[in-house]
Amino acid sequence: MLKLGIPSKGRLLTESVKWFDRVGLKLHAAEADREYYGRVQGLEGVESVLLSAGEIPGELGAGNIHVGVTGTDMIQERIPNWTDRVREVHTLEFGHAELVVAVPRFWLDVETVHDLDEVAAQFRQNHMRRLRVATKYHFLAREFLSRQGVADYQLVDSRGATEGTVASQAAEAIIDIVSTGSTLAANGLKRLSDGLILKSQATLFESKSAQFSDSDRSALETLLRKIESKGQYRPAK
Amino acid sequence: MQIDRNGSVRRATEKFVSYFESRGATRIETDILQPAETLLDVYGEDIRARAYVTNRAGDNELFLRPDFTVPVLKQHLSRESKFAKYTYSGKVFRKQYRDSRRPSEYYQVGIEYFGGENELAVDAVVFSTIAEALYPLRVRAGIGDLGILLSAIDGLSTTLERKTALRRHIWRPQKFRQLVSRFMRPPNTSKVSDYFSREISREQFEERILENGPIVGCRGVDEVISRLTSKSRDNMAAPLVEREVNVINKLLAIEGPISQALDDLERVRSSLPGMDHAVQRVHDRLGALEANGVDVSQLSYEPGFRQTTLEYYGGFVFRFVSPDYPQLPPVAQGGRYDGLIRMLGGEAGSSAVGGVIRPEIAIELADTSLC
Repeated sequence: MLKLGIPSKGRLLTESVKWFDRVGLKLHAAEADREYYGRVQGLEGVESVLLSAGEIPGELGAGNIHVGVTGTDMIQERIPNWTDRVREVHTLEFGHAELVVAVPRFWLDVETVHDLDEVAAQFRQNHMRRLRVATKYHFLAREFLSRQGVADYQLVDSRGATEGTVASQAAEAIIDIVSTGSTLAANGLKRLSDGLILKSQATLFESKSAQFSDSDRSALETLLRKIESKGQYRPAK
Repeated sequence: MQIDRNGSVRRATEKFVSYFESRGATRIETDILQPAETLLDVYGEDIRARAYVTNRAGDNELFLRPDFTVPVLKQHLSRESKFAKYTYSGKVFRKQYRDSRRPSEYYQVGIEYFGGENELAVDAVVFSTIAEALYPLRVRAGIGDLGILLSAIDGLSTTLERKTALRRHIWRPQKFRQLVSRFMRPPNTSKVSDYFSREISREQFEERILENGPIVGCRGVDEVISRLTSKSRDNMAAPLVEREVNVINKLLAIEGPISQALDDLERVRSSLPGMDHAVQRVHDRLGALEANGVDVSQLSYEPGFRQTTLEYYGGFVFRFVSPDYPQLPPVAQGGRYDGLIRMLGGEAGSSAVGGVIRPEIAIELADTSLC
């Protein structure tokens, strides 16, 4: 059976179900059913597996599922050297978001990542501690800040609403996913002009380490043909 | 993990420690679990990418010891003595990518020398002690000196703020170069705030800042104003002098046999204030190394050290590599890190030099040189 990982809840689930529906595949593992393994109507030899969006990268990386839908951000955050482990098959045209660096709007002196680095130096001197950056994306945040030559900062883990951590004085800046930017504004924050870390959207990924039987391979090819014939085909870069 | 099947790593480790003890070093132990706070303060967040993090239930984070220098220095600072020579051995732990062939845990045997009147003499003793411990392995020694670049920065005709910024990023070559080109731009008076040019009052300026958004977080309005002021001042600063930037670029490019490096250094020696003294120190250190029986003509000069993530070295640095197996990590390396003492609350002007040997690499070299 070709195992297809689908996000188990929220907008990612409903949008995925809709998207596959347009392609001609009925996913039976709907949220209401509480059915974690499901048959896929419209295509032989495919089985859907409901997983939290955050688990899908790990399952793909480990080869426990053959293909799966999740955000580019999740893949890049959870799988070091992700291109060795998974391949982008299709972008799914929903779940658009950007991972950005944001700081308080009243920081009139800060527009760029370079400014943030200077502020980190100033902050450490004035407050005797490193400037705190709250995020759920530790790997991507650290990689970005390190590549941009930012020093004297500290990553703090945010479990809940990252945008609120500055107002609650748990952090001085944040690195988080934004879609419209209105949440940032509501929390008194703004994006840095060169603080875009990545653009993310829901994408169908293929595992490079999963075992594909002949029938799995042909099921995947049929799936791709169906996507193509419905005009949904957007070859991933 | 490599298993020490026949005890050869243990024996080699013990041999090195005994050797260091015979040279006057005292054995010191450190915990494998180290509080994360100090290590993060020293190395920054980048250490998380390279060290294993764990924690006691409901307690602060702990790292599996990624190196010995910081814990040894901390113990030293908690003691009364200013002068001390320590030796230690044990495993260090470094995170590697899943497919990496590098080990995630390996042994280190090291020495750390604190205090000493004559810094150059201590540099030479640490270097030659490690060189002797490695004998008779076939190794090539490279040396470098961050003091030269630091002196050159000090000698630039520019503001103190710009010098401080360059010094702060001396371990990040890419950012360092970005700063240099930024500081070469002509002054931009249009970016000077009208508060700085005294056209509006502080109250008006504060009001304008708060029009942008509410005060959130721990950084205050006064800090924003203070930095806007220093930004304005910086926008009026004269650009770096091209001739001086060329000196910095030349210094960054010096690499190769020591005799050639000394010629290159001679050519820039009088180009910036303070350089003469720094270059003289390189000569004097070579003299001190020679006095300790080191054949200095065989040394190479390697500025590449400053690309490491070990951010605490601030002067003399050295490493020993195999000329036959250049793909192996250095069998030994070390350097001077006076700045770290200040950072961890020790007395300013204190002296610290140290180095480590990796016994597993030494064994590998010893095995292969038998053929």
